[in-house]
Amino acid sequence: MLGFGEDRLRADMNRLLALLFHQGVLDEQFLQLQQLQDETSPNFVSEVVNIYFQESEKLLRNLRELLLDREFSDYKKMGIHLNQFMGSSSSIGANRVRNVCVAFRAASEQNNRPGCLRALELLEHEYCYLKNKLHELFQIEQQRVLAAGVRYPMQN
Amino acid sequence: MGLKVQSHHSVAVRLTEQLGTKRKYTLINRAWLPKMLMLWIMVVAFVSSVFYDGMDAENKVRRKEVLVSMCDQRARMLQDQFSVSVNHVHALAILVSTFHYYKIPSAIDQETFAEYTARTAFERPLLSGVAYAQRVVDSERGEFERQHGWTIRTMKREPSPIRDEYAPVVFSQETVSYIESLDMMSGEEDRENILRARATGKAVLTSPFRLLGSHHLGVVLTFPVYKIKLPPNPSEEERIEATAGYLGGAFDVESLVENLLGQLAGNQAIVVNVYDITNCSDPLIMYGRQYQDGDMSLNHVSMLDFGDPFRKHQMICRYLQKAPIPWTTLNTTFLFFVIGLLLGYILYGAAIHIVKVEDDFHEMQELKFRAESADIAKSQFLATVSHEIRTPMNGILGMLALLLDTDLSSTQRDYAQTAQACGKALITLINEVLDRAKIEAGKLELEAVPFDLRSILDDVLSLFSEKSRHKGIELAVFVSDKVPDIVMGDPGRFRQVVTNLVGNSVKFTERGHIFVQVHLAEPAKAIMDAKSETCLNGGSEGIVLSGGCQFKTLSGCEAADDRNSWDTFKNLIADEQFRVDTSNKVMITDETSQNVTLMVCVEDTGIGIPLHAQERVFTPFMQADSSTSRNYGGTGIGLSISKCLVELMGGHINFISRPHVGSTFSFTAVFRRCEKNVSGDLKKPLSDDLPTGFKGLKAIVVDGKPVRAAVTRYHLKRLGIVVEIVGSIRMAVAISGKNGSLRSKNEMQPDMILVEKDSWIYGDDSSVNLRLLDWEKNGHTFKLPKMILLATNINSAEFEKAKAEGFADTVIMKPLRASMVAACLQQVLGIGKKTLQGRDMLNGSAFLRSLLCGKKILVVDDNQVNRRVAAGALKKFGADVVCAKSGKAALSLLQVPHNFDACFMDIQMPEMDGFEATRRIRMMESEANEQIKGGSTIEGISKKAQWHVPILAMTADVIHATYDECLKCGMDGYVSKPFEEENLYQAVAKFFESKPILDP
Repeated sequence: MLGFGEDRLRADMNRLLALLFHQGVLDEQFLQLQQLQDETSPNFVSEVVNIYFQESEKLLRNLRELLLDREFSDYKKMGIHLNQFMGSSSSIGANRVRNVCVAFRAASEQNNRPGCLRALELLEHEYCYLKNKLHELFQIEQQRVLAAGVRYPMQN
Repeated sequence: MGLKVQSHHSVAVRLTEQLGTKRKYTLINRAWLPKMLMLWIMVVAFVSSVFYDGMDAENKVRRKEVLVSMCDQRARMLQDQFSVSVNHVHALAILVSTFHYYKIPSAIDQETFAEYTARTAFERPLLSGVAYAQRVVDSERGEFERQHGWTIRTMKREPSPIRDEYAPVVFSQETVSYIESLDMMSGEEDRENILRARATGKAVLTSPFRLLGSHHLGVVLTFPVYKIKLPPNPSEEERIEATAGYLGGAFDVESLVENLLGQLAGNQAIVVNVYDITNCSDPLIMYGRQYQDGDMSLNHVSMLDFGDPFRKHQMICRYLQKAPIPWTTLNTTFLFFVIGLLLGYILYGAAIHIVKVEDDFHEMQELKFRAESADIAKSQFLATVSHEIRTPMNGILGMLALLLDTDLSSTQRDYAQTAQACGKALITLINEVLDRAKIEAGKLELEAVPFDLRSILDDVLSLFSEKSRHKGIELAVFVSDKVPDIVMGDPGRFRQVVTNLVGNSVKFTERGHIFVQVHLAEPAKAIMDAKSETCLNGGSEGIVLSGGCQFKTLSGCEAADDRNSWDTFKNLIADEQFRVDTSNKVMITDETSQNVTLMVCVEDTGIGIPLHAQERVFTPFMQADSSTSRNYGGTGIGLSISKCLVELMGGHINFISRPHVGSTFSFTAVFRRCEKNVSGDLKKPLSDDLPTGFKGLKAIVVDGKPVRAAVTRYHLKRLGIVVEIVGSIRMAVAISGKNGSLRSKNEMQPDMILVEKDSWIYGDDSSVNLRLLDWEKNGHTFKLPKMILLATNINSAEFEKAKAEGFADTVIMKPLRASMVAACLQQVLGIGKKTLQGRDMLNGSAFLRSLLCGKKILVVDDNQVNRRVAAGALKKFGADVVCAKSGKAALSLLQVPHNFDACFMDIQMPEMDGFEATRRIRMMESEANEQIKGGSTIEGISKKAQWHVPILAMTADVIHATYDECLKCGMDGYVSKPFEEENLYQAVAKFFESKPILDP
């Protein structure tokens, strides 16, 4: 019964992942990331992703502050933040977030404030979506691990 | 998607714009056409009317001329005859004066006069009669009447009343005898005439009147008769005084003119009127009908001079009939008009036709544009759809990969693997379609980067080596020496074309060989043309021959293009060697040209292409026939893509194929030469380095088939091995034996003997014999030449046999590739135990693990996530990872001495970027190295010859400029971020492979 539960959870996870891939939210890099996770670092993915979330939230906050500062928008600083955001996003394979970052950076390079604002909004939206989905994923993963963990004694 | 819609929209807009501009260039303004036609008709009508007028005027002039001449002729004749008569009357007057007055007594009486005049009447055809009237003054009347016995009577035949003078007729011609004794002075006209005549002394005429006796109009001519001879220039009085009488005659003008006209031609055509116009205002008619008839529009007036200066006469002639309607002129003009009209209509018709054609043309153009845009849209759609399919397909494949990583039952695994294989096939197909679509949409652009042609060909061969080995086909590549090592072009696309051709060949070949050759196009072409006998595509004689005969091709099977046989090949190679050896000039001229055209031939001995299908081989989605795809699979798009690519590369592709014999596809491609200095720098990363440890080694290749031997030699030559080819093992032994005995000369001492399996198995030499011979020589030689067997496929029994018979060293499996041969030789010869390019030996992941295991690696990145990921990736391969947050932190960690084996450095970092950090590290290292040289050894590191920690850049944008920058500031390589296994492996392998040797 519980074994079945684990299978179902695995299927759910895979379905969710497939959806994210199909939507282009994630790309192959995420798979690579998952491949890096093994017995020696069982929580590698979630660890990295959590770091990513922390960093990203900081970056997003900074970006918003920079943009809302009406008199003076430091586009150079914004560019640095965006580069960082982009780098980390591509590292975890957050494809869509990365793409929005690219657009954002383009807008910031042109000192296009309305464009930047729009991009920021979009970025926040994408980021939230990614965050929710990944949280969902990790939740399922956790449940699966729990389910699997329950199964072990039975097997033994 | 919005972007795409917009682009479509812009295409449409451009289309209409184009159409708009095209519309302007019409030849003829259609609105003007009917007007032009009307104008033309009017012009023609006007011209023809002018023409008609011209001709008609001419006619009229001619008619007038005729009239004038006729009229003048008549007038002259009339005048002449008249004057003749007048003259005669004059003569008569003189006669009377002479014989009546000068003769006394008078010689003339009535009888004489009558007779004379009667007999001379022919002289006066115009005069009805003449009479002489004597001048009688009133005083003499009595005597006169008495003398003649009659009284003077008036014209009314009454006795004359008393007057001053009388002029009674005394003599008269018989025709007018009724006027005798009539007083001429009693008639008004006669009296006037008489007075005038005697005053002037000339003939005078009366105005016309109805003559007595006849009702014809006539005039009376009167001449004075003088009694005495007048003095010259007599005065009027003298004349009157001298007058004795008057001779008169009546002109019957009417009958006169009638007669006259009767004698002339064209009489009836004209109407003649004669007028007395003495009184201008009231012309008196002398001849002709009073009322006007005939053609009133045209008349001619001729003046008549009848000798009387007082009277004036004129003749008026006109045509009896109106001028006839000028039919000829009319017809001509009408014809002219009709012709003009027709011409105009023809022009109009032509113009209308042109307009119609133009309209059609525009319509067609529009349709064409529409079709073209539809085609472009199709291609774009295809490209888009392929792309859109690819994205989810990646997801599917990724998920399948994930799925395969999980615990699956064998059935499930099988299903999943099948699904993955299918997905991969689908991706390949989609990629092909995408390529095709891209090419059609003109979106495909070729790169121009330097690449090593030979290594690409080796790669392609390695792709198919498994398959070919499985099928037992010989697969070989040969690149001419003249082909430059590095050329500029698009390696990916070149590889694609060759891969496709070879793939096709492998697919359709069950026995024999597949042979890829690359030559320079020009000499190859020249030689082939020189050799080219008429080579029939699919000639049937080849089938007959192919049974038993051995052909001088790679495998001995017949090839479709017999120009590729050994005879030609030999020439090509010979030509090359000749050129390389002797004529540097030729080479120089070759070098000067920037472009190098290569000819690539892929020859197989497969099933060939059926004749009927040969012409549509390059058509997309067409395979030779529908059964092909059933038997062999595939979409038939590959060749058309290849064709497009080859054409993009500036070449042509064609093929010669004979069913059941094989096909030879050959294509040319234009590449740029790579400048020497550039190639020196770039050679390293471009071609996987072949080990150089074999330079100067000597080998003997034993192969009965010269082409195959040449291929073997080509690969060995690339490794720097000097090769000699012999036909049989016996000869090889002989050479090595000879060299062995003459060792002092230090000639060719083979380090290895490579024996083709065919030569070994089918050759007449006994292998045992060979072994014995070798043993025999062993005493003399330092080193036994290594015996190597070359085989396409070998079964275990054969392998055992080979082992037993002396090929203990190794068996090199074909297809030959320089790198693989090198690996085998290294193994055999034991040159350098260093690991070879791992791809041939190990798979990447495991190899990476072996490379990185236990290495201490520093990862420098400001991005925490990246840092974590990179560390995770490296840890996975067993590396010991230390992370640094910034360039400064890295600097402090890398202070000499340290024990890091490598450093991965992010380039874009705040404060101190990767370049700067690397520069500083290198500076530090060089300082440390100086110190070592200076003797001040630092504890624990003395064993290290030099400090040089490999630094690899981590960068997201993999462009060459960045790469160059990396090298410039002292980095050793770069890996793209995020890490990819292959990429990481390539970068790491480069400097870790030498490590075990230098750092034991």
